[in-house]
Amino acid sequence: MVYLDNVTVVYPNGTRAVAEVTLHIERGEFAFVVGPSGSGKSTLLELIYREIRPTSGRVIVASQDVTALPSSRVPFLRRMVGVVFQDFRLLPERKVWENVGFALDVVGASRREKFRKVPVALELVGLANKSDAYPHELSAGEQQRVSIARALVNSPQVLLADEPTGNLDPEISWEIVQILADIADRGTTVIVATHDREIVDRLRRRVISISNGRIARDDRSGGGYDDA
Amino acid sequence: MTLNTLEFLLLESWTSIRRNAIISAAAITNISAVLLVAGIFVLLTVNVERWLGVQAKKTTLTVDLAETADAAKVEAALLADQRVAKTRFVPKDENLRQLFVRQGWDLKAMKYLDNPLPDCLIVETTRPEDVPDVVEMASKIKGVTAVHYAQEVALQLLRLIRGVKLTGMVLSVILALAALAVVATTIRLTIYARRREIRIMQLVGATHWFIRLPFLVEGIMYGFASGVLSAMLLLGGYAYLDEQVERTLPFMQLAFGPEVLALLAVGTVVAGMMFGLGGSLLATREYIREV
Repeated sequence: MVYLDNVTVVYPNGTRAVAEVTLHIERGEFAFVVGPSGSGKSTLLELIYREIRPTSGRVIVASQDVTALPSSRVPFLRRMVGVVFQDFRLLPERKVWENVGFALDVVGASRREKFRKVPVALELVGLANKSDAYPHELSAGEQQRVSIARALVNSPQVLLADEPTGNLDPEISWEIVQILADIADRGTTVIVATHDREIVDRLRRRVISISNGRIARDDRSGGGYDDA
Repeated sequence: MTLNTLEFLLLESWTSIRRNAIISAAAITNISAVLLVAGIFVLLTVNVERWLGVQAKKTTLTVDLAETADAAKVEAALLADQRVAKTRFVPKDENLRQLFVRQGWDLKAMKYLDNPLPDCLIVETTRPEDVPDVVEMASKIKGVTAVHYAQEVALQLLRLIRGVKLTGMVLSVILALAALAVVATTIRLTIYARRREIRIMQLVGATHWFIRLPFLVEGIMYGFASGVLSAMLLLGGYAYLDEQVERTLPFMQLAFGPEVLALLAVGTVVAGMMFGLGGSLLATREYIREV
């Protein structure tokens, strides 16, 4: 589903954020990308949703060469790739269900589609009873669940999460990760960049460890944060 | 486009205008000023031009006679020319009286004045285009001191009005650029105010044009409001002027009928909308980063 072929990213200031990374993540697979801040985790995700282009190498997402994708096609890639961030990125003046529906509004969905899909997405993250609340009325964990629902509502094939538990308590973090794992079990490819060792050690799924832009370890069998 | 999409786009634009009420008002005022100045120029130049055109078509010229001249001889010489239709002799006292009447002076004062005016002949040509030739011919006749004709002034004024028109066009272009800049700046501010939303739109897969569209609609709404405002001011002002002219200068007719004025109003609104669209196209191209 996601395939990186010998990918290198060099920033204009000369920093080598990603160096010769080759990586394959299957459909429905759940993978952690771990490593210290600045190791290149976020950059790796940005390559997948075409926020940036690699300096060399190829990135294939859902059988499409993302590196060769013209700008005008990027929105259509984004509809197949949901993204979740540490800071949730919700719109404060819109209700929960409007925030989720926003992702449908902007891709030209009909009202009927919105009324069908939004409740399903909210149900999936366990927020069906909070659909009329505003983001500030929710806890941080609930806000993150709204942002996951928004990322899911377009039924993406890939879900990316960049430090999704960075602002959350350990207990809530674990809830969020379980939701993400559930989503993977339903057939969506889920890639989570994190430096939260507790959730990694507890979930025991594939761990890709990045250090200085290179893959230091790729434990496909389901490992811990810093297994040797 | 679904109904839901249309509702979404219009609501986005309207929310933006409402949140930035002061800036929106400034943008509308500015575009209106531009449209107003341009409209006034059009009305003014076209009217004056048309009036002068009528003057230029006149067939009358005035021949001043020397103190010693024999009016009958000069008249005969003029009438000998095929191009001259008729002549009429006006003695100098009559000339003076007409001057007094035109200026609204007291006629009783006439007798205290040593009349400086000459006797003259009013000459009519058969066709307006003959006037310059007849002037040429008449001025060579013995006993003629000077020849005046309305065309002379009219043609000079026409040249002047062409200069005014050019100035107006240049000024309009400068003001148009200013209006574009104002719209662009306004839209830029609303883009900044909504950068979070734009960012999310980009992340969930809204196309570039979908993101731009509410801003373009916003720009067009500014233009539309400005167009309506300035059209109303223009037509109102014109109606007032028309009334004044009719009262004070009955010989001068304003050129435009209701159809032309309606067209001008529609044109003003359309021009306003074009400014709005242009400005927001500029701003959105510049400030919404393409993904």
